[in-house]
Amino acid sequence: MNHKSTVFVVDDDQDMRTSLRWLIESVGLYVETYSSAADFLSNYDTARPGCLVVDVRMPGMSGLELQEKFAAQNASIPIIVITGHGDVAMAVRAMKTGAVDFIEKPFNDQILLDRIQQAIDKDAETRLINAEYSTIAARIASLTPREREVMEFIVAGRLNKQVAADLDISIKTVEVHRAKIMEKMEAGTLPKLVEMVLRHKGKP
Amino acid sequence: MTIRFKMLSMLTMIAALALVMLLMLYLGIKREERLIILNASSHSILENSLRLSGELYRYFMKTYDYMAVPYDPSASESGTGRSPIHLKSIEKRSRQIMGQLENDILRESIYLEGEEKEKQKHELKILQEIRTVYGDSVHHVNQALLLHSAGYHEQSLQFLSNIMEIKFKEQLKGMLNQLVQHEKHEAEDISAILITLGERLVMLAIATSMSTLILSMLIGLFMVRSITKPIKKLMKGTLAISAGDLGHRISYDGADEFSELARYFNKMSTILMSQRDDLLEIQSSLERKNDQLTLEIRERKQAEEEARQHQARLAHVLRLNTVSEMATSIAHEINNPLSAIINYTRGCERRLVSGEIDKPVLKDTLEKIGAQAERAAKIIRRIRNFARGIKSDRTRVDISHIINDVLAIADFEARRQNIIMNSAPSGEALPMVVDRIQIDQVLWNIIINAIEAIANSNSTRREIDISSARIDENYAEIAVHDTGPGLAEEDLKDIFDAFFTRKPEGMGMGLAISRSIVESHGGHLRATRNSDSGLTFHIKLPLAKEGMSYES
Repeated sequence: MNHKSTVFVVDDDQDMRTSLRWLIESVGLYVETYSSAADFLSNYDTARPGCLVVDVRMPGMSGLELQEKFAAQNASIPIIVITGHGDVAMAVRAMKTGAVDFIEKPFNDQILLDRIQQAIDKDAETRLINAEYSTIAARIASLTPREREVMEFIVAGRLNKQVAADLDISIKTVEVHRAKIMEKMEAGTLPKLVEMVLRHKGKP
Repeated sequence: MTIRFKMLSMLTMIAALALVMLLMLYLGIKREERLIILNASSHSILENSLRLSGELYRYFMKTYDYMAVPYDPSASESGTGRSPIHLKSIEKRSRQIMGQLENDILRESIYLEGEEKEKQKHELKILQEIRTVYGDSVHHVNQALLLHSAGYHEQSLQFLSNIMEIKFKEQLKGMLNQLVQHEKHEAEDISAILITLGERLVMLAIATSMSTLILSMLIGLFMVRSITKPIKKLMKGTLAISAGDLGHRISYDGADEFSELARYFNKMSTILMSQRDDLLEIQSSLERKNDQLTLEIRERKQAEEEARQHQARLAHVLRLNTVSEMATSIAHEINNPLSAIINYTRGCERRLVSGEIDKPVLKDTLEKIGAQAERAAKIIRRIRNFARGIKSDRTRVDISHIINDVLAIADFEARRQNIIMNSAPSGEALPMVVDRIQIDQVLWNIIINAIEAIANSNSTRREIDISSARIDENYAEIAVHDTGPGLAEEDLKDIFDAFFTRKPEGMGMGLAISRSIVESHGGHLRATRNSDSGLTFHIKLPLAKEGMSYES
């Protein structure tokens, strides 16, 4: 979270790399350029926020392949694919595999810069959500199996005595568990707890 | 009737004729024989008559002797003298001869008939007279004996000698003479008969041989005719058939070999006629087919002409297609410098607006913009080189120049599709006289196909190897080896067919036209399956002969 957002430019054409850097830096963004997908991958740290601007056609590994590789690894960095004229089919393919955007060259500079900004924002948001998710996951992981069991009942809306009956334990015991759960999950209220559990399960 | 049978019947007829003739001859001879026998009988009569007269004479003489010798009983007892008993034996013998004579006459009368009977009457009359003389003689002898026994020896002897004189010297002699005369006549007749017989035999022999000859000739003629007639008929028929009159039939009757032959002949001519009809049928159908073929040839020529025009149009389409694909590739390639120029200028603009740009940086960036514009211009120049000389001229060019030309353009597309192109041209010069534009198109087409094949596949190896090499002293080959998915063996043979395509937007014309272009250069275009994956296209082209003009 402390990292500065970076625009990673991957293009085999050196002039394209240089000119893109020139353009993107003009709006004050931090740019890193790579001449090939392989070069980029060997240097990239998934923890670094930002976005990827990649040419769709490159020798070795194409932009799409790079993007597909990220998708397979569940890496979340947004990718802007630069396509040539008539590469609509490729653009569609890129969108389907989860690329944020594609832009056809020669492109309008403002559009590219807007897209880059949007991608960076989206990445930031994603990273925030992912961070929250990780926190919740860590908290859930700290619960004992019995506490997790009791939490499921509570989140499902059962009362303490109902939970006691369900699990064939005393209400007192349920209350002890509940207090422990609320403490470990750092949830002040029941709605907060429910929200966290649902978010963990992948629901909004 | 067979000919053999005919001949047999002829021979039988001849034999029968000969038999009839023999019979006639035999009968004729038989008649003459009878006459001769008759004559023999007359002769016997004469002989017997003579013998009789001899006996009579002896009888007379003995009787005379007996009467002349005086009676001596002792002598008669002793047997030395002649006795009347002895006379009796003579008489007896005479009677016997007489009987014989009568038999002869009787026998002769049996044989005699008609005219001849009349002729013999005289003979019979003589015999009658002989008999009468004989009877008179015996009577007279007995009278003489009676006289003698009565003791009138002298008178009896006289009587007897008188009688003898009369009987023998006059009557008997005359009769015998007559007989002899008669015999003589008869002998003359016989000889005449014999002569006639001989003449007749000769005549018969001549007639027989003549008639046999004539008959044989006639039969021969008939036989020949009976053989030649059907042969002539057959010949006529053969001539008629050879003249084309297959409807000609030979008439025949009977059951001989010729009839059989005629039947077979007719059968043959019938078969010939049906075969001729078949032939005529075939001929007319052939003529029809020929007309059809002529028409088809004309149509085909027309179609070929149309196909040629069509191919020319297609070649134009291919060129347009090539230009279109090239345009796409060029667009991609030119996009890079253009995009770079835009990026630089926009970057400068933004910096100028915000006022945070140094002069040296600006100058540097402007230089970069200029370089990118140069780059774009260079690309356009290269394309102009490629498209130059639309005229269809065959010039002498080295195979490596063609490869370099095409690779320079195709490289954009290959890079676009993330494909590595390896070129391995032959070390030696491989000059050929070709329409450079057309061969460029062929190679371009094949390389673009290879690029598309790889682009649309999941091949991990994305490479195209382009090589050239000499095959023999007359040919060189450009081989384009791709790592695409390739094709099934059964599809491979179809890829050069028009409208065979695996591309949804393809027309299936590229390879068909490419092949016709290569073949029009006296070369050959074929595709083979690689052992691992993909296809290799072989563009085989004839090498330039020595002495051909060279144009670099």
